Amino acid sequence: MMSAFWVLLKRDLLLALRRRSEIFTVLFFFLIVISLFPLGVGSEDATLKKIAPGVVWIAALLASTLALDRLFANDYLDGTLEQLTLAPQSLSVMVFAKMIAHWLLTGLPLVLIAPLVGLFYHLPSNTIGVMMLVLLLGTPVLSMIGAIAAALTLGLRGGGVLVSLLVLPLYIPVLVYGAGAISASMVEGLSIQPYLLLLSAFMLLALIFSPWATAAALKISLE
Amino acid sequence: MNFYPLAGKLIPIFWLAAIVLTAIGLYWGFFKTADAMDNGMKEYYRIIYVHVASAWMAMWLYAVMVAWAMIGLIFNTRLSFMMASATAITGTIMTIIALVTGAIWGKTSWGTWWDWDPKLTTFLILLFVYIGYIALQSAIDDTRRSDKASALLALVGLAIVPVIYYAVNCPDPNQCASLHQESSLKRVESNILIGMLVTTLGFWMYSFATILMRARNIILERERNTSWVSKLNEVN
Amino acid sequence: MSEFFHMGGYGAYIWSAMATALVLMLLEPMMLVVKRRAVLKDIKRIKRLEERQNRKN
Repeated sequence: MMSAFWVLLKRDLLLALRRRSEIFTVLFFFLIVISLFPLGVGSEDATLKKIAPGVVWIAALLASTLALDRLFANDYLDGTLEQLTLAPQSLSVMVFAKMIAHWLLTGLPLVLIAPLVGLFYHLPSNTIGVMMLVLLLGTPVLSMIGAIAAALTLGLRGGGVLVSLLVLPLYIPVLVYGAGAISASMVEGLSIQPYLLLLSAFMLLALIFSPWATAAALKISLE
Repeated sequence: MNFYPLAGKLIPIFWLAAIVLTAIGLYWGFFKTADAMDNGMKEYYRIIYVHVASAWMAMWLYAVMVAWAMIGLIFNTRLSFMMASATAITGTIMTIIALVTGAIWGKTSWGTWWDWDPKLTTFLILLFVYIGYIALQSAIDDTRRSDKASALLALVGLAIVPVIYYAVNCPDPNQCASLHQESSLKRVESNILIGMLVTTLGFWMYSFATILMRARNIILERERNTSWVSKLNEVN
Repeated sequence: MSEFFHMGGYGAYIWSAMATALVLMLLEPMMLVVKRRAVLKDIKRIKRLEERQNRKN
């Protein structure tokens, strides 16, 4: 069971590293959205600090949504996915491996680029730390909820827009507490611990339910 | 298919009940609530009958839809999937009515059409969730897949909507304990409450009627090539 | 009577709220009836075609 997990994880990472440009597309999409806001809203120091938490999270939501159709699409087209559902190993475990790989390729880069966002928006250094931490807790949840929608819309025409319609409302809790934590870290004397606890709770719930739901969705879509 | 003729017989009964109950509820609310005005209530509270009734229906119908979807997924019955998708559109319409009347209520009592008040925001998101369900269903051509996929989405929504409600109600967890809202129902004057409850019953009957009508349409559409449909009185 | 429709200055709001609900709740069943007629017409058309086909054979 675990060997199937590791094999699939390694395979997905290897495939992605052969097509490195895809990783950078998501990353640069994120950076472009981030840098459009100061141009549209204005670049006064106070404004930037005020909008930064929301902007970072909305850019992260959009970037992770855009990357979703890549999660299963290639494997669906070349028939690998069909083979996976027929394999004796549990589909949930293999789906989980694919989610982890997807997060390592599209979520983790956003966490690592966060200090640059902090520079763009004149954020204090402890806020940058908090931003990286909440992105680290929140982006896996985005990948895991998104995987369910990606599995449901597998192979549909206009799937990309449909996926965003389905998942963006479901991302709201992560957006609220992710952005809330960054804002709270800029206010003297506010504890960010409750935010972190809530985000961790979301991550645990997503870890339990999402692989199972995604596997069920894949079976429905491939039937 | 015993459902089709049975639903056909029930629809007029539900329509009658819907019209009578809604009329009684609104009549009671408009004419029997003079006392409430003495307690400083403004005239605009009369919006509340339609607003509360449609808001309750919007939430209840989501539960009804998920229940049908769940029955469909467990027992693999086609009729439950049809009922689930028939429920979704009536639920969407109830959500829209709740939002519009809520906005009008907001204009009279808070002086603004839209406020990011937790309840209004939750209903906006509920509308998005309904729309997502309908969009997914209509994007899939294969009926078996579209039934099951949208049912699964409804289940996922059921798991996440309460979390969204919590997040919208309490965006700052440092202060949540003090923000806890008590149910406002207990403070409502009893005649207004009667008006609200009877109107809501009327809306339930309306929902039953439209859901059954839509379910009959879906059945006809899907089974148009079967022999029992071609033997129906309607097509001869 | 006009006093009733005026509702202490809130008449426009109250009646527009009622009207929104009424219009939507009339439109929905009307569209369902239209849809039903369309489906029935379609079924009848297919049935006629089939009967013609059967007579030919």
